[in-house]
Amino acid sequence: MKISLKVNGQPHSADVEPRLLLVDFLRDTLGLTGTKRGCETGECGACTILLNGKAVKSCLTLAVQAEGGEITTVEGLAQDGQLSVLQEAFWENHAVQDGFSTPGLLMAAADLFKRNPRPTEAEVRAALDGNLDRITGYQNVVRAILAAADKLNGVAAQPAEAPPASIMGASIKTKEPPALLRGETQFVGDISFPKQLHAAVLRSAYAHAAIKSIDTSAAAAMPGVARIFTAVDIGAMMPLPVVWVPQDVQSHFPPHPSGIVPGSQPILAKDRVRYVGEQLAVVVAETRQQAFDALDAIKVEYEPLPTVVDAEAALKEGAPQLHEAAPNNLLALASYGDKAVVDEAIGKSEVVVKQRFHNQRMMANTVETRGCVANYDLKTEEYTLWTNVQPLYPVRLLISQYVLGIPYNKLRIVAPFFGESLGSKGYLNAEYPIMLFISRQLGRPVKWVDTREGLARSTTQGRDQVEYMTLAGTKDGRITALSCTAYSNVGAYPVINAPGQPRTLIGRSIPGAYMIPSTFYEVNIVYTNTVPVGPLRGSGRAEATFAIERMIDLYAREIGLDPAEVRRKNMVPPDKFPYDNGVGFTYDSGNYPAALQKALEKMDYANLAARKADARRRGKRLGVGIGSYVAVAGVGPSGVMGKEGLVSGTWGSASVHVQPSGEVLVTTGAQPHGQSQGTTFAQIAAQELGIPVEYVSVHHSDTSSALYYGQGSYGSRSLSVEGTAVQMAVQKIKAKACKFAAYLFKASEEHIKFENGKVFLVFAPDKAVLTLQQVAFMTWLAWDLPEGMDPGLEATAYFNPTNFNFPFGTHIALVEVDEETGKVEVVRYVAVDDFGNVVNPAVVEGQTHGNIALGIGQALYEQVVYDPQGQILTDSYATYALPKASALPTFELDRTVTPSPTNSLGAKGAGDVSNPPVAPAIVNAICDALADLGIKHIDMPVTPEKVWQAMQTAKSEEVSDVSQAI
Amino acid sequence: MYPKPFDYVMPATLDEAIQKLQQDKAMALAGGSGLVPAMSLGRAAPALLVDLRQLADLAGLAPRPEGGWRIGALTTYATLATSQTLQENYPALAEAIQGLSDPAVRNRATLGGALAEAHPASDVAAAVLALKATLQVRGPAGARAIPAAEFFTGPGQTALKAAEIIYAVDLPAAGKASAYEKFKNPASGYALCGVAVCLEKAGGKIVGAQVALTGAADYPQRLADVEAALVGQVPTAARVSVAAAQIGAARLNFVTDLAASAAYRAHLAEVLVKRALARVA
Ligand SMILES: Cc1cc2nc3c(=O)[nH]c(=O)nc-3n(C[C@H](O)[C@H](O)[C@H](O)COP(=O)(O)OP(=O)(O)OC[C@H]3O[C@@H](n4cnc5c(N)ncnc54)[C@H](O)[C@@H]3O)c2cc1C
Ligand code: FES
Repeated sequence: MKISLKVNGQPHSADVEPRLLLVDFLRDTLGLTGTKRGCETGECGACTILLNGKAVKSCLTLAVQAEGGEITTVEGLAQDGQLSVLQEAFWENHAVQDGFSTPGLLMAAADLFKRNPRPTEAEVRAALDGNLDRITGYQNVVRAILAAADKLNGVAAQPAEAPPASIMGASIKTKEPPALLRGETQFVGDISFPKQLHAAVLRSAYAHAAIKSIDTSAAAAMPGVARIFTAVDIGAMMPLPVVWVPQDVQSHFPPHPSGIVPGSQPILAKDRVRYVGEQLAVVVAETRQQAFDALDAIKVEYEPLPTVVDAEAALKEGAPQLHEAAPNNLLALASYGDKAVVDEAIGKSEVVVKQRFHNQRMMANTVETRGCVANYDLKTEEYTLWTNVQPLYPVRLLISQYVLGIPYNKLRIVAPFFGESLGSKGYLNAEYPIMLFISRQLGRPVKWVDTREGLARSTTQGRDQVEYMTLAGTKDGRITALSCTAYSNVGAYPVINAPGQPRTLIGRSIPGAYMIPSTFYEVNIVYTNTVPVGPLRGSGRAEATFAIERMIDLYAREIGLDPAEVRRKNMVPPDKFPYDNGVGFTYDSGNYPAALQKALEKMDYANLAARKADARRRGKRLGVGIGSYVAVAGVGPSGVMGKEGLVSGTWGSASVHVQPSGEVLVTTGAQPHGQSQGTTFAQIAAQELGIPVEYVSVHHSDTSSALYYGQGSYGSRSLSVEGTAVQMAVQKIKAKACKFAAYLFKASEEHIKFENGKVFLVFAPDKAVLTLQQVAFMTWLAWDLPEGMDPGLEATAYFNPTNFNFPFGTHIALVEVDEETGKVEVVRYVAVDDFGNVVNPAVVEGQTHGNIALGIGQALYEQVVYDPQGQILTDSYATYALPKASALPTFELDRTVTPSPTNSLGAKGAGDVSNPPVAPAIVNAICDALADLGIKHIDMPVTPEKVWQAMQTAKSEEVSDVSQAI
Repeated sequence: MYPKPFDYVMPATLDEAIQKLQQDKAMALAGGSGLVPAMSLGRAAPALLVDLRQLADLAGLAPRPEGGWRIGALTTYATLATSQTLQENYPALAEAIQGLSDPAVRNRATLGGALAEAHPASDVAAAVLALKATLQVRGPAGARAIPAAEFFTGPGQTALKAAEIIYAVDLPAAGKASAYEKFKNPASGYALCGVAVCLEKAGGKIVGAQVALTGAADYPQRLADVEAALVGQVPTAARVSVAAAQIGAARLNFVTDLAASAAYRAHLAEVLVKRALARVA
């Protein structure tokens, strides 16, 4: 059908199939990829555009329905090259992190302004309810929209705070947003090459089955299909490897032909599948639609086997067995601490509190799914993979050495701009090597982008641990012992770092911020017929913090003390650092009670009685809950990680070039996906060199860069490890500049100083002086260098820290519970965090916003649900609940600053560490609200129904108590 | 993932549309917000789509000579959500629309499409039931009027016959004392339970009461027992509670699914009936 319409003022005509969605017309036919595809069912809002001046979700609209219409996409918002007021406000208010949801949010806001030029905050939030964003917590987005409304209405902006004197610690605007705000930035789904083929993956429909046959003949004959690959077509491709494997448990893994590391799942399953979603075949076709059309025509004959989806059940006798190498489905049983000592301490204690927790299965459910474009170049014999994975270099090493068996030198990995991750893109998944293989087989680029349903079945999920906790203490509030027996569900196969999380990250974090004389942790890591599980933002520390923080509240309630008081009494005091927590971590520095105090004051904790009474009059129960935390960050000390079983150098590095032009180029292995290293690392270099930050560019996300290796960004490591390496490299450059100046000025080096971008002789700072640019130029010319000095002004530095760093803080939530429905509303949220020295406070606030939103999501909404047959029931945004803009309050943030002694920046991690205290703060608040009913615990997500049921049970027990008394 | 192929026509008249809809596996297309995602998910696979959008006279609000208002089937939610007429005369319908989905969906979705779709948790379904609306439909056998109470016949089922098109929704004059209360499914935003009420009072007593439920039971329906407990009574808080408690007595098929159990839905129904009635009693 022929359609004609105007897009961003330009007329377009095209012949389209009636079934073509408007989103695909804009993206694929017109190449306007600023409009994103996140769900194709109308829930995520990433595809929002204006049609005839009104917001429309272009995935809910056929292209033919737009015939004759006028469309504005994000690309059309800027006028004459100038960002609109709205776009500027997003930039200025730090409303853009990874930026994948940004176009949709902008279009929703543009629509709001047309209807309502002066919206209230509540109206802004309501207007964003059709736009999902997993990263910003909507905080700065709402702020930006309100600021833009003010500006458009001529309301004078608040006078900006005076910029700090130093570039370090300044909330300067980040560099990436303008292109993102214009919709010009290319994410992996936006990349296209000439002659590119499209792949779709056939996934197992059963959670556990023998594969009798796969018949691809009908599908292969479908229009546009280039080839279909099943296990028999991929030759000697090795299974996925596992690299975080403590030696004692290696035998419990599927084998791997490398003989060096154990194996995991096969790239394509051959005769058995172990979870719904396991990949069976890949269809490659001329268009993505053709590839998906053909998927339906593949016939698989399954012979279903019994399934088990629950970790505790999987250990029981007679449970279905997943792997021959792992009897009773046990991947590992590990423990820290001395059980006998702890049991004895518990036995002698005045008070003992016990509770079972289930830290539920979650998924990142990012609006941007995973994807890749693979290309094998016949001329250079080089493979290139454009993909959204965080650890580029590790994945390069694993694919080349352990899966494809090709030279490391011949594989290049590039992360284009990168949407949300929450850790879910931190893995090696089967699709990447197979697409590389297929590209080589077919001699054409191959593109694969996952779907929403595919994501639920193919992308690593998180959490899913059951803990049996015992906390013992005195009647007056001193903790004497802590014991935890845990069951971790790792899914059907181990992901690259699977065993690490339940062991190191949870186990060693279990005592939290407290001095506990003896702690014991034991974990059963168990295979089940579910999607593999690995770290998800907050990983490990989230599970541990939830358990200990809930136990503190239960203990406080048991002995009738204020939970804040119990925390204060037991927190590691500021004079005890470095502090050995007894189960393997040495906390670097901190003032835990100070952060607690600050948060209590901010919440007006001591004066909530009146508010509670007022809430009661409105049929609500007010509750307040504290979550204090200390979270390991800054991976890390390579030797320590090696002892934990990780086969990967976790040190950081940076290479800094002062170019012949005098500009500075920083190359880092930290891979940004919303954390703005392009800006913060430039700030570090600019500060150290004393030059304007605009002179510094940051290069990342491409393994063909000059850098030897880069670990990537995860676990709150990049600033404190990779960022420190930037500072160290710059220090080397300064030293070289000083040496050169000393030579030139014929002075001794001790009389040379480097300050504000200049080197000079201290006696004649105005005469004997060279700018950085001059030094760069002269060392580049190398006409006259001191003996032994290399030409050029560049340096590479490596930072292999000796310890992790340990950010900490206290969060406090105030919630209202509806007496009748059980619905929980978070009415205030206070966070006081200590990330040590902070380079860009606005960036760090953005990270904290995302952490809080995710934590509220875990506490109240999110859960991956499997039925007993292992079918995943939450494979869409309509079934997997997330916190939306209107469900969140404005987060109130503050910080204390305790520099870390473990790195020269004094920095502590900030990326995911402030997630762990959130869920316990919320659940503590709910339990506080329900305390007088005798309700002690409700497992997450605390849905209205669970609250209502708990209230029902409590009330009926009360009644039976009364009747017994009579 | 992708809709299956289909043919597409855009008739210029209602008659032509009805004629096209008589073809095998033909479906009407209004805003598309229900149908297009259903096609993307493979839950609908029409052979022919009959796009109604040229039938411009099917959109808009107009007073009816006999009192009350007529809403064209193609009127979008966005138009209705901001309509002063609706807010003043039929708060239950205005509230149902304002509280559903998001602005972008409301810009496309139409009242007729929503009613034809008859989602078990449709907000507007409860509102039109409580407001005693009449659906005006036309099909191969001519025009007929279907009272809302007879329109929703079962889960996802309606009284619409093949190739029939809803062209208007007529609302009677009495609708001011109406309200809608919704408890959202946090994932989909649909009603886990939604209750619309509309009362008529005379001489301090309730003389007419419609109470309709959506989302909680298997399909949108009126709650006769609750209504019966209201009519002829003085609208006190105590009476409202007594009436709401009739939910328990009603033999409804409350739904248990991922989002909530039948027991919780039944409880919510009672709470929301009370809350909605409290606002209009
Ligand atoms: C993200 C999202 C969230 C939503 N949330 C809610 C919610 O919270 N509450 C709620 O109630 N609804 C909700 N909806 C549903 C939405 O309200 C309906 O899908 C929409 O109103 C359907 O109207 P439409 O004009 O888009 O219909 P279409 O999608 O065009 O059609 C829907 C069905 O009706 C038929 N049809 C259309 N018009 C007519 C007609 N005039 N006569 C006969 N048959 C017709 C079509 O053949 C099709 O079967 C949501 C939808 C989306 C996408
Ligand atoms: S892609 Fe359209 S709403 Fe998600």
